[in-house]
Amino acid sequence: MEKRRKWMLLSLCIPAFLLIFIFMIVPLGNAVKVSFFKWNGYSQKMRWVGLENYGSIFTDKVFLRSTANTFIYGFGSTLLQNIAGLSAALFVNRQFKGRNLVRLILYMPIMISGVIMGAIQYYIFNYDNGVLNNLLNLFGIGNIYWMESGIGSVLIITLINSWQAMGFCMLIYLAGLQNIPKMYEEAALLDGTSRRQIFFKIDLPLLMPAITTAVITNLIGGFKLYDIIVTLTNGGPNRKSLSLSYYISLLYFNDEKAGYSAAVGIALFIIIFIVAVPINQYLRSREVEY
Amino acid sequence: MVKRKWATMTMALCLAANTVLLAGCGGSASTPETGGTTGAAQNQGTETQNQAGGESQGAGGSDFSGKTIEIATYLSGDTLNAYKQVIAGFESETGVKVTLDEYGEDYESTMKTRMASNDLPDIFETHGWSLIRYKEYLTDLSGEPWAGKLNKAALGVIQDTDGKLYTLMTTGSCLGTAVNMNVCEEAGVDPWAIETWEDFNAACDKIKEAGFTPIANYFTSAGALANANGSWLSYEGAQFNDNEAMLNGTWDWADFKTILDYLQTWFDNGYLYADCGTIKQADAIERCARNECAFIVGIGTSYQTAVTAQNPDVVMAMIPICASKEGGARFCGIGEGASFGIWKDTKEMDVCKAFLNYVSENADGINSAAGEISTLPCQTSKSYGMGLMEEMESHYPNVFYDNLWDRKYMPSGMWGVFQVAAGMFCEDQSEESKQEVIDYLRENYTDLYEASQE
Amino acid sequence: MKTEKSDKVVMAQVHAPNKKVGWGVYVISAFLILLYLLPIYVMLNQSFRYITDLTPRLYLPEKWTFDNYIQAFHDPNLLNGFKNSIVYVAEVCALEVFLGGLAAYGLARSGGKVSSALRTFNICVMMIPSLSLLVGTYSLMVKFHMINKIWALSLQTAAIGMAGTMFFYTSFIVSIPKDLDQAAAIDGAGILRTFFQIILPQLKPVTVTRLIMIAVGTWNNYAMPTYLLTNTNKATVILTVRKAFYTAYGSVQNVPLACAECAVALAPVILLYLLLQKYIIEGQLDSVSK
Repeated sequence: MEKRRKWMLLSLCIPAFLLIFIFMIVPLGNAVKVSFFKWNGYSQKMRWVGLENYGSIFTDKVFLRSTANTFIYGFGSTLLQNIAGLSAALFVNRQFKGRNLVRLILYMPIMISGVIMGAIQYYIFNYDNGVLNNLLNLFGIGNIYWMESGIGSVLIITLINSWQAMGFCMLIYLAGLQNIPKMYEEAALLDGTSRRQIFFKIDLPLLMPAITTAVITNLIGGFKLYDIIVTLTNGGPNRKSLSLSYYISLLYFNDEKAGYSAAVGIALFIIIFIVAVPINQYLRSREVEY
Repeated sequence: MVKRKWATMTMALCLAANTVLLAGCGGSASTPETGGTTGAAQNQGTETQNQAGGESQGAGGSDFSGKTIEIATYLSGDTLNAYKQVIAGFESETGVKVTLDEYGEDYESTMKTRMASNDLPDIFETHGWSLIRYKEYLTDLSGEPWAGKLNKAALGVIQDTDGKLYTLMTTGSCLGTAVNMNVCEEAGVDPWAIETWEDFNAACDKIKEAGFTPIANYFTSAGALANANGSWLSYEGAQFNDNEAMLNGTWDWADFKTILDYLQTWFDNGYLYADCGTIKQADAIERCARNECAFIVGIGTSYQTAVTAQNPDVVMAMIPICASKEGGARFCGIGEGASFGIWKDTKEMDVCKAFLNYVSENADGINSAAGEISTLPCQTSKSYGMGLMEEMESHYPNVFYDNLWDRKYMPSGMWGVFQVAAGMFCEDQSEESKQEVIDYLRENYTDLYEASQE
Repeated sequence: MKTEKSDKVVMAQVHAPNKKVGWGVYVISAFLILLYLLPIYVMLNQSFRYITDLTPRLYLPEKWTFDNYIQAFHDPNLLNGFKNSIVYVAEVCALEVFLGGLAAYGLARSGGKVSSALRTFNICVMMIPSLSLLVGTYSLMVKFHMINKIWALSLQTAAIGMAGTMFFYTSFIVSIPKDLDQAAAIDGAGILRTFFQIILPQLKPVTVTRLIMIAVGTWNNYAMPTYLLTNTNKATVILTVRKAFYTAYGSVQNVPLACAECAVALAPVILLYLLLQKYIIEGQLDSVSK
């Protein structure tokens, strides 16, 4: 009876996993197959090249650069978002008139699509007649070419992404802060502990679950970054601000190297897997707590 | 060699054809009563659907009402609106329902994906690739009534070696050097006196001294390498005479270094915008409309049209791309503008042919909005682009016209490769970087050439 | 804020909520609000300009016009885009919540090695960027004529998000006491009836949060729709607006019109956000604090 019930319960998963199988596992197999071919992506002709596509990965500067960028987008925005999110949470956690308005507005950009955000930010960070440079001109500072170097563009993209998604962290921390019993702080205050010490000794440890949730969500988001780059820099200058996701689509649809694009896709897959293993272990261990 | 001579001859004829065309346009400008547009309007009034399609079909008055065709276009803005009007006219005349796909910047990638699925729109734009890329998917249209009316400039670009035609080209884009006359005047430069690249650089020096940016070329586009310097490579009066080698895959890419060496002078002398590696065409247009820059090399007349739309007070002109040496040919590239081909497996072949017929008779609106040169006899007024060409020809009577360099000599897929190469070169102009650019081009050229031969 | 004095202010705030706050808080609030509304301002400012207005983007238009909005409202593609987006979002929400919830119930309640393995698998799948499977997915969709079908894209999007939804639900279902469904089982209720009558009502608040997350993500989804919805009639509103920023082949790029289309496209989202802020922000707060 118990066993039958268990299998019936498991059978409830079939539709969901079937969907994952069709749209994730089958494409993965398909991509592995294509990665052994030289193919322009549309012609009916494909040529077997064995492991050649995988071999080219290691000498491809753009690939290495995009991988580094993907890590910057992943870890960089995670760091920025958490710092900014925590600060914002501490700020709006205080009682003052209009704090709900501040909270409302800080969270709003999450609702806006990355493509649209990138397109608008282009006019802010533009060298000539960009709004940011217009502002600097008011203070007598000349135009600054924000997108001049690859690393500059990467940092600006990271910054914009963090700015946009920061509200999520803020909410997570706000919830964490509101769950901290006030009496801990009061007791510490009576002992003459300074405000800063209270924060590091009491608030921060109690916030750990919230921090890990935020870090994982941000990491996943950062590694997938694509939309903003498309409209903000187009991957430029000289393909130095690409994320791996964007590089894959460029290889497929612009460079006509579908086979190589598939190989890079597999490489991204492996990279994500390596990053995901420790996260995975953490999440599993946390689930046990329930 | 024979093919090249033939091409050169047609191109030479192109000038003559254009002049005739211009005269024709001027003559009929005041008589708009004739032609397809009015015919369509009258037909609408009679409301007899059976007869409605008959006039423009030529295929015998079958009733198309209730049928649907899908058309894909990369056009946008005013040209697209003009095109939509033509489609609306066709719809009300024949009862056909037209679905229009506007792919814009994604046109090429989208079309590639649709080729992959062998599921193409019934009619789609061939934008310069009717022979190299799309041929195996297109219907031969050489038997259509409008085929005989196309002028030589168009035929030189779209006719295959066996005389087949795969696309109706209503406008041709003409690539030259766009000039902001206001800036030139203020800097004391006479653009019409520019003949060679040395002259061009001298003019740039003067413009720079006067406080303007001489060249607005941007390196986010493949055009910076593929279009701008055609005259160095393959055209009459150029350094190299190896077109055959380009076409049969044996070309020595080391020759490309000449172009990079020259382009380096633009960087070294500070002719370019500091952000030329990240701006888009829209930025160049805006700056030109603000009278900040003088030239942009290797661009179609639609650029000037766009500039004057942003600032009607700017006087723009077009000059050919410079000659590589004294007495050499000054060159303009002719490319396919708005051109439509029919998918060979379409289920509605008759409707599609009727549509192209209709377009060929009502293309004036598209032509004047595109600001490009017309390839069919036009009935109303001449476009802004035609005016620019006319002006150019009055100053330079011996412009050498040819198909765009990459469309003629490079295998399909090289456009994207040039775009990457332009970015590489813009970042670093050292000798090693140049070698890297050339290696990158050679590698991809070899691959793509082999793929096209399979 | 790092000075000793302001630290005291912070302290005072936490413990005496109704005391008057320093003007510094309002300065920071104003700065944050300006920082977060800047892109909206840039977008609106552009949208009221004539195309010939080349004055710096920071300043108000030299002459105001509503023409761009009139033109945007007359763009049939934008209206059609809204329609497609709504269908797309509704389909993805229904698929993910229904199938994901059902599967999560099965996973959470069945226990054992299979369930544990599937949950580990889920966490790995959650991290995969959909574009790493671009080549495989695309050729699969092409083969089975699923390009330009919104339902097919919905299935694909739901498949990508399914793992996350399952993970989300599993951790909540685990916290619902097992006694509840055992009682139902004794009453003779089948597994499906238990799910719909006992579990689903318990999940209502988190479902609202999850629905909002899925809806926002799907509405703004750009990467796969660009490649899978190539027909203009099928384009979502984000794809349509993206097209307004195109500078295809030398045609005039009408930035003011593009910005007006952006504003029209964003207006309903922002409006919904303001109307539903209670559910979005409070819901998010509740769900993460659990």
